[in-house]
Amino acid sequence: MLGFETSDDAAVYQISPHLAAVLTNDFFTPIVDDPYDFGRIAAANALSDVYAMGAQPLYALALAAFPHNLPAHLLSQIEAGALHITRQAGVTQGGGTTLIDPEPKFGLCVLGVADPAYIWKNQGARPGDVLILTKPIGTGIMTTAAKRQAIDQERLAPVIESMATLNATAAGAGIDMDVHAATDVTGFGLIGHLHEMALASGVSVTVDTARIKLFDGVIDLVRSGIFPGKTRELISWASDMVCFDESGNEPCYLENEQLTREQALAVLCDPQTSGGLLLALAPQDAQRYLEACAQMNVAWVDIIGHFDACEEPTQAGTIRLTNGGIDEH
Amino acid sequence: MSTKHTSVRLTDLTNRPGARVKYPYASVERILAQAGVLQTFPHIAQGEDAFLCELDDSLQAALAIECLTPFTTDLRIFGASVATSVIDRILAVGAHPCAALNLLSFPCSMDALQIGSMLASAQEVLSAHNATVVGGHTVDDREPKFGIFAFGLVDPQQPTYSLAGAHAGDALVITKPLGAQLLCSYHDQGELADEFLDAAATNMATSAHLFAQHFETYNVHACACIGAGGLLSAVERMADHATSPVKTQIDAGRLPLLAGVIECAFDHAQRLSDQDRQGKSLEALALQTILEDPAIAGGLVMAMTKQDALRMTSTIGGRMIGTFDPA
Repeated sequence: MLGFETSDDAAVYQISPHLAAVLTNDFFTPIVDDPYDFGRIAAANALSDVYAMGAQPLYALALAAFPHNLPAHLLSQIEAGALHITRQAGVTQGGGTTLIDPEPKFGLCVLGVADPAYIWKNQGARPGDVLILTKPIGTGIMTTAAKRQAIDQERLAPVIESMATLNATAAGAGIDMDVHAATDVTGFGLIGHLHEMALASGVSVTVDTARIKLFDGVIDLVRSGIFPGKTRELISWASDMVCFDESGNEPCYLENEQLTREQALAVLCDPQTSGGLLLALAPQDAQRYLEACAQMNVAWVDIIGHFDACEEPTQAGTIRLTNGGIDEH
Repeated sequence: MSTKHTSVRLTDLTNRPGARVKYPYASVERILAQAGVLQTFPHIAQGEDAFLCELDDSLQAALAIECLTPFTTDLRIFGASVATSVIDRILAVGAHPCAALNLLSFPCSMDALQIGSMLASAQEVLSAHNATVVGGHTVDDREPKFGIFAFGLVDPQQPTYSLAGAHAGDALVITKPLGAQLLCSYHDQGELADEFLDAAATNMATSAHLFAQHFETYNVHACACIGAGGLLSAVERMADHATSPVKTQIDAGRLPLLAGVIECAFDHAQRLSDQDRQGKSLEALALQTILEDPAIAGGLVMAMTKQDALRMTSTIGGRMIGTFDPA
């Protein structure tokens, strides 16, 4: 039903008119030092693809790769972290495979289910829809800083908690609503995933950069030139699809801080691990969604922009960055 | 099917080719027990080839994963073998394959054409078994690995199968000749002609589809894939989960072997140090090499009554290689 032809977060295999299997696999190298946290993050990240489709994850196989000389208790901690998250998600683990690998990796292969009629796709955003983001941005910058010992563990703690937080609640808040399009923010950064969503939907999007929440410390780190190496590649890729508002190319404001265009793009293109959901909703539904999130204690969620009609088809996927002034409808 | 042309010797990029990359099962069990995974999900300990799970009251799905390092420089052979292995896992539990996701963990510098040929050969196998490749995940990795996550469904009218359930007195039937990995290893070291690799490649790309279609016809009691632990490990797992205590008898003279396997097994035995030989005869060591050859898509071992085994082997093939005798 959904495979390679779209940039959706998971594949969809229709089983019957009212039942579809939602399948995804995701694994990666340690992003934090603590093995338990790594297991939690890897599991939450893999399950996120299923939540981003509006589906319910049910079962998972673990895919682990460990150096043969890594102490067994570290490996157990990774598995225990993943177990913590799968239990929280109500997901049953069914085994998996474990490899010997000089570079450790961990992840899950996940099976979820959904009614095919209600699957969220990354296409379908309409002009006038508002854009909602459900987690702060900056995991790539913060974990890179921790690796370079530019920040301490205390500063990294909220980032770890965010990455280990399931997108289950944020997805659940919208499950009975008419979500026009959805995705989660991961390796291509906010800009990359937003571009895919807008392009697939044939619309452009305006983002109020002042509304995007960043992890504490992101601005200072970017000003110091600390961000992942991959970001430069993403900035280069994004340059053609991003335009700054009519006031000119610079400056850009994030969290009321003035940044250069390059610095702002380093934040907005920052590759996220287990990032939040991006949702396109009609304005009246957006307010209901925010209220539902508040009731369900989603840590942070906000409207960060809106989708616009394109005057020319070639404008589809374009992202306009503004410094405030987004109409809250 | 061998293409014989590669710009990088892939097997040079890994110290543990093929099924040797698998973490020892006993160690994995300890890790999972320490983590609390086995206590929470005790079904994992049984070590089934695929995970059977309920989608609703009447529908069961099967999930399986295979992920390996290259054991041959010919990526087409590698891709087809990984695909056949994961297909066999789905078939072994009585499900039919439906969809698959690739897991590509390769150096970014690898030639895209080489990787493309590997994916294409895997897809050929998957398509031949009605499994659609619907997505995947890529990782930049110094040591190349290729894996497939497969999803299958069980026909609600059909039974499911397990490695548990063999009866004392059952005969053991395997679906295809043994020793493919041994041949690949010798070929990769330049000690065997291409024709042996081609035979191994054909063997590894042959799924157990024909046998799985007839599980019910021949009243198969238990079934396991011959994988990383070789034939011996698969049979041991079945014996451990038999309905009553059994003693395994394998008739070495009846083991079907690919051409060249005996010579390689004896050569391997001769090269062992005195310490590794542990006073065993060359014949015993060669047999051990064959029985423990870490297989990729090594076929199935099935337990059923002797009468059914005779009917199966005379009708659709396979070889009766031994019995589970009452202990």
